[in-house]
Amino acid sequence: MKIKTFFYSLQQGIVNIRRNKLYSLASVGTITACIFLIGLFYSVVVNLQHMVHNAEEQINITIFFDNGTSDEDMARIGDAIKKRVEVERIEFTSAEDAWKNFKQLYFGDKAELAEGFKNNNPLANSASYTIYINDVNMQDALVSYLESMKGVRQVNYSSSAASMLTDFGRLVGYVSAALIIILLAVGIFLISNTVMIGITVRKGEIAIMKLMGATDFFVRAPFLVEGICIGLVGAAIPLGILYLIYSNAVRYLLGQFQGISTIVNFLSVNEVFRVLVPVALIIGAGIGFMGSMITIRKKLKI
Amino acid sequence: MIVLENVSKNYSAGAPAINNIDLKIEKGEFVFIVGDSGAGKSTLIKLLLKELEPTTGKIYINDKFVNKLKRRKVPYLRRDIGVVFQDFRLLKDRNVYDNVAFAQRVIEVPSKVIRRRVPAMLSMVGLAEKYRSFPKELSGGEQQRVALARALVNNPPILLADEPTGNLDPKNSWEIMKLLEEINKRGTTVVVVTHNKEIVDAMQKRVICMQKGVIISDEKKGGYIYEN
Repeated sequence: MKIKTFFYSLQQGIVNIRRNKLYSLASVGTITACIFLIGLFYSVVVNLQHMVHNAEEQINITIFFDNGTSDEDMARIGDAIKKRVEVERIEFTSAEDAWKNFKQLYFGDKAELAEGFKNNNPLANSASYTIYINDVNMQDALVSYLESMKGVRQVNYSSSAASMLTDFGRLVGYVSAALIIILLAVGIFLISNTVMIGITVRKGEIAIMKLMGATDFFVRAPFLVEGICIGLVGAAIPLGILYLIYSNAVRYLLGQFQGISTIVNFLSVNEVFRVLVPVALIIGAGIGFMGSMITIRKKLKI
Repeated sequence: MIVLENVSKNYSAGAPAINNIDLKIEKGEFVFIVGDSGAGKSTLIKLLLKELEPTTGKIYINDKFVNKLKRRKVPYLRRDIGVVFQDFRLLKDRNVYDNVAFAQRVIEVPSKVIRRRVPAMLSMVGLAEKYRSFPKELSGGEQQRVALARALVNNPPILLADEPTGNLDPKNSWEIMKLLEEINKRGTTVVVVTHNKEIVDAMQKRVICMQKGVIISDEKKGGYIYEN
């Protein structure tokens, strides 16, 4: 395509938009709503994922052994656990280590208080494996396996807070996907109608262009440009709005949940928008392209 | 230049619009096609512009086999054929200059060439002074001249004129015909579809007469022989 043709198409596309402002506005509005929702749900879902991921890193399962389990048996149990797909890594804590950690945690610099236990480790039966898992959803399966193992006395695991987060994230995902699909369809439909009006208004001109030997591309390009411009504007507006909302919401929520900020921690606005901006612009341009293409293919046959 | 071999065109129902026509128009000829409404003249023009496909038969234009022409090649066929219509079909929101320049812009002619070529064409049709006027400010004859300038600005070897004088008074009709003759003398093949008996009789050119989709006569230097 020649540069001149590019500018011609751009100019004519903008002329089309200005000629039917109302329809163009309606299309921009729908796409704005659509991409606003996409952006909103995306922000919620990635933050939930982020929190789940953080929670997963903290979630682990600890197992303790029957009294008198030998070191060899413990090693054998450890090897069996390591082979499970759910397991990311395991750490062994011997009874001595457990006591050392306990002393440090509860007596701190008053080590003399623990002196009374010097030769009699009160945690003698507390050797354990700490098991880190790949995916919080696999926790239940692994726990029942561990409980069935010979030599395992106790399995400690955290409640299913993390899996609730995952379930919530999934629900948000489904609901948003349904809404987004409906809005995408409406957006495409409205753009295709907007372009249809443009084509109807310029019917005479298009007929002359074809008689003069204008190529398909030359005739169609302004209408494609029209659709894509509407789509891009419809993407840029919600991005601006979301940027303001997101940065303020994060600041507000962090202020509210200061105490539990280890669980409730949000991605920075830049981290979210690094993905959201190109995705939204591509979706906007895509809706515009598809909407105009549907009409063009139907109405602009040579 | 233009060759039709056994060409027929059937619409969905009824008698064929064009029935088994053989026609040959040489380079540089001036041809009138006459006939009653429904004789098939408009269908013939649409076939030449590949706006319609023939039901049977073969069409060649400038040695291009039109039937087999790919869709994306059609615009290039049309660049070889200038067309004017009875209703002029000018763009009302553009002035004379832009209407003529439009024909060049849509085939991506460089601006430099457009600035040279458009005034030359307007001079040829005698409208150099009125390049800023809008179609509604022009008489019918002047509008048809603009349409002619637009049809010829890309220098097509063939000019199709579909009832070019249909909306004009006798004086303007004659002026347009003189212009067409002039264009023909410069080497363009001119095909004029018309009802205007007076002009056809006076100009003594080749006349092809159609009736109900068939050619009933083809005279080298004929008159308007068709009578109802």
